[in-house]
Amino acid sequence: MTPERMRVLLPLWLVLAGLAAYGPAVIAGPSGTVAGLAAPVLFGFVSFQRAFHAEPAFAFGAVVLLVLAYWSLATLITLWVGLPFSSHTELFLIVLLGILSSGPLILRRRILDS
Amino acid sequence: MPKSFWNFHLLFLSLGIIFATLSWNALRKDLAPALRTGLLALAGIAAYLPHFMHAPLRPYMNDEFAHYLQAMNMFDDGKLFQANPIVDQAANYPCFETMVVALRHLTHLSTYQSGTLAIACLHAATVCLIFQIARGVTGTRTAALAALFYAASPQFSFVDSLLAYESLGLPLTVGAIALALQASRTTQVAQRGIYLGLCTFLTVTCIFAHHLSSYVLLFSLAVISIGWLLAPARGVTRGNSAPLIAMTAIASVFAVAWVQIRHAGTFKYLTIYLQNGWTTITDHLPGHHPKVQEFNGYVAVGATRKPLGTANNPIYEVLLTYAFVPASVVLFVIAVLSLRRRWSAHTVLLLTLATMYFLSLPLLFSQSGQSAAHRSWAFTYVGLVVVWAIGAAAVAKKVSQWRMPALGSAGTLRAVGAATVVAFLIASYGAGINRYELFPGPFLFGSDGRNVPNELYGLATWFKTEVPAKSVIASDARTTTLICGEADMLRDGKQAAALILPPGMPTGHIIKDFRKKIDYVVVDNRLITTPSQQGYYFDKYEAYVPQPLQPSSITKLADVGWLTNVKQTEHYTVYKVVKI
Repeated sequence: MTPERMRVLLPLWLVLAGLAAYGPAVIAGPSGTVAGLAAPVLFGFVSFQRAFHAEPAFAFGAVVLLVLAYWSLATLITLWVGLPFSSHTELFLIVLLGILSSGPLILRRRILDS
Repeated sequence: MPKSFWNFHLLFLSLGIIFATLSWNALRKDLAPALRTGLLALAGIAAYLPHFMHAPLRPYMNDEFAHYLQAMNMFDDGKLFQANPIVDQAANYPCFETMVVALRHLTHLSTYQSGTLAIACLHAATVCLIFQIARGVTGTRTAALAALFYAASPQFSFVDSLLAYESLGLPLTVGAIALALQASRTTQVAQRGIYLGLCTFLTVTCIFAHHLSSYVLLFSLAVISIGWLLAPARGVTRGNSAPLIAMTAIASVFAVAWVQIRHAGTFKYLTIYLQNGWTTITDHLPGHHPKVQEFNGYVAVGATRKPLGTANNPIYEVLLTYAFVPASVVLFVIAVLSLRRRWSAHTVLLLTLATMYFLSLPLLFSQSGQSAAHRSWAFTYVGLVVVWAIGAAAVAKKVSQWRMPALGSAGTLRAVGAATVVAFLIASYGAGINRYELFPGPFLFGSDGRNVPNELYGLATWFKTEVPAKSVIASDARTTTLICGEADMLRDGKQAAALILPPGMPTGHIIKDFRKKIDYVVVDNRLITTPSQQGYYFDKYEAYVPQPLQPSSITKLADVGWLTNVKQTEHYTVYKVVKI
């Protein structure tokens, strides 16, 4: 699939990623969210690898780290400014899914344009 | 023959089988990149197995209890910078705990399970990123060999597997380095900018995650910048390094400012190990006399150390351990010779890190310095493993040219590569892990004096059910018993006040003077026979006692009339204070 075509399918990717993350949680309860967590990593891995023509090892390592660093820093900021964390979990997850599934591909488009 | 002797064989046999199998497959020439990635990720998870199997359900070691407690409290009340009674620096670098708390919120797993899940993922990612870093200077199979070496290194399996902030700090450091190195060889402006942006993101997270990791990362970014300026990659100019240099400078200022803002005392916390390690070494020079050292509440008298001196290590491990350093020197020279015409940011950084490994070796001969040396290996091994892989590949290539086709066949090379990974594992484990009160290492299966988690938790349960809420319990700050009990009580809403004994008075006086305040005294009976310079039982107060504490000075607790023995387990005694 070309980057251009993937870009067209971005909204679908985002919806799929959201369903993949929340579906198991809804169906199987909280423990299903563990499986759902793998979804953004998988989407990020695929899009990172395709967007940058990266080695699979690089894409996998970078995406896992970026996801965990994102969670870590997002929670840090939330707690630092005194917000209750639980109400922002979903917001962070949606932002994360959006970044992971569409970010690298949009950036890839910019790279191609440049 | 001590029972623990067989534990070494069991440890090395089981890990040897795992790593030999993974290496044999990962070193195949025609392997698909995705499959190789999977095998390297498995190697990273395999490196986590010793720690995981040691304590699959509960925190095990002193520092783990500190971060476990920190994460539990953060989850309960949402406060970031709470004082930590065990590892005071944990309060200043909360990103590990925020990651665990976020995962706990999201997954509804327990704190420890969330941490375990995160660390397993981080291990897999780290080994893959080591492969990426090595790939910048060498071929695919040699880079895979370097990644496997790293997975087989001691600090990765033990120190950086702890439920503690270094387990996040190391992967962030490796990831940021990999992204910066990738940027240094990327010709497209936008792509280079993205790599540097992601590198900045990981660097900022690292500054909030772990002090030492962030300083090593900033140092590494500076070295990469220098390498970039000295030998820019094809299609990249020296001027392209400006964003990285600017980011490194700003992040360095921020890292220093953070220490000042938090009044963290981090630099003293870190450098004192180096200073004392160096002092111990120079004490052996003619005209010098050993000094009493005090650092971070510890007192170390005559703090020299004999590597492998505390274990019944098998002879093969001893031999491999002592062959490890000369082999590293030889392979370092070979690697330098083969890289001498390929200077780049990669080579400058990797050779710098490998050199720092050699500089850390003298510190192994002191109690204080060896702690610094072991911690530094998380980073210096990044250079060392690439040196080993390049050197080993060069030797294999040379051997295959000796008109001995059998030695040069693909199967033989894979077998030799797998055997080398296992030998590397045994040799560097032996060299790296033998301070038994801190690192499980070869003492994994029961011979570590601190390794009785079920007993600890049994005692904690006893406290939870039998001891009234808000009881004041006195013990040494470092024993895990109290922390375990405290954590359990906190979880149930019972407030147990942990009395951290104030400095200035010997133990016996403290017990007497605090008679009105203390309800229970907990003594870990194993620790009273531990040489005092190994430093954990009441050792904060040895500085105020003319002589180091002897076993008798603690066992006399049993003779104190107002202390009643109310609980005795295999290793612990609980005394109840009879009130006046």
